[in-house]
Amino acid sequence: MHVGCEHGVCGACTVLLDGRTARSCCTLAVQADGAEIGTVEGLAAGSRLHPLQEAFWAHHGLQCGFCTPGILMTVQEMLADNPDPTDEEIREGLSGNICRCTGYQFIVDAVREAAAVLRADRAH
Amino acid sequence: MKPAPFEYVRARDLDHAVAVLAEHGGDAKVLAGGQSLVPLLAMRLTQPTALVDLAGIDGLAGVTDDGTHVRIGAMTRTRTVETDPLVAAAVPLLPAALRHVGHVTIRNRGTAGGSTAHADPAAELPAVLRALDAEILATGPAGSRTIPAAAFFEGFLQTALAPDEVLTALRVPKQAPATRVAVEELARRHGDFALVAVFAAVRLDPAGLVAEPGSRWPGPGTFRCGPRRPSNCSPGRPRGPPRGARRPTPSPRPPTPSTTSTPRPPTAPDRRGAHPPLPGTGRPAGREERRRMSPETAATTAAAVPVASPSTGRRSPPTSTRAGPSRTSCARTAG
Repeated sequence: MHVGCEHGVCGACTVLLDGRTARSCCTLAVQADGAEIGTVEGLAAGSRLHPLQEAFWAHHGLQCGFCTPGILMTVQEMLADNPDPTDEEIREGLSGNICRCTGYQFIVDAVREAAAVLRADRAH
Repeated sequence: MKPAPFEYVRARDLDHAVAVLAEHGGDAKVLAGGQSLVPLLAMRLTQPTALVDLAGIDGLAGVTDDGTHVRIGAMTRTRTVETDPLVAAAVPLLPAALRHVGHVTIRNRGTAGGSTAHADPAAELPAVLRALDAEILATGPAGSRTIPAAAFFEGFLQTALAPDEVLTALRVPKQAPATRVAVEELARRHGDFALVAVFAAVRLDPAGLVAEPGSRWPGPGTFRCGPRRPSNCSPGRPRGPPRGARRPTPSPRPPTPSTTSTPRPPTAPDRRGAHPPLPGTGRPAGREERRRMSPETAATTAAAVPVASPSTGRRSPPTSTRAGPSRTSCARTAG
């Protein structure tokens, strides 16, 4: 796992557990026995980045990148539940993931654009 | 951060879980979603000899209609309860309150039974269960029993559960149709434990007047979830300024019990970065409904749970006179 705070505060270790986000530091490995696990490595299709990753790249939604895997997992679920979030909903959705570099504004910009791209993809 | 060594037991059924708990004589802990327990293990604030995982027991998860009540299995995830249509229709106060529990990622894993048995006085679910006079079902060596919420929560992380009992389900009374509910919390950041939380419910008649002032909800005077209550934050009267702040000149008039007339306390500057106020910030939830209520009614329908976060022990510093809560929201239903 991607080790962050190790006690359920920072969100950096967020993964998908049977399709829903979970903090791996708050989950014993034995609890995930038999479950399907998704990580940031599963987002890109080969060398083609996921629209979320493209948007984070384009908008400088990361600097040191430590929090980014957890944020991408969180945002993926957020956009699956709510494909067209307001900025306030994006910020509320990100509130469990701590980023000490960006100040969040570029992350919000990236999520907003990724949401639009994903909606357009879905419409086609 | 590594937990102290412990034995892990995945219980086959309830009898197995109870037997393992009894065998360890109070040194074992039940593992449900683990969202409170696993961090406590990691910090070695608790060092049980064994964890009894309930995840493998059939029939402990799910929401069912139980006539006058909604039955929520102990292993039902918080997010499931929050988004369940039966819960939304029958007990609207529950989803309104559960929105405030941590973050979606936490609610995906945390369980209704786990939060109840953990009995953190700063948590939403124990407060709502008490406010609604819910029942807690538990199974132990002597069989099953039903515990009223008022008798279940005994204090900070203390419940009426015996060391060898397993919480199996919650039975929550359905709220009357046309019940309006509102939940308001004051927290430094979204998802943090609330410094102060208020859960209110009132039933209105078709004309929009109070039909039932919510006698099923205990008055603030009886609503006590934690062993400590900030002296400046007693329900039923205006809240004073945060500790250390300059106290206003005492008014010759008695305090008004209505929460709507309570002046907002000064709060910290908005340093939340990614967490701006939600829509409706600054506007007390359910103002229209409360305006129609007499002060007395408002006092009996608002159940306030003033709490300080035990995880951080921090409070809003009295460093600013800027008014407005750091976070507020309102959920309502026409029933």
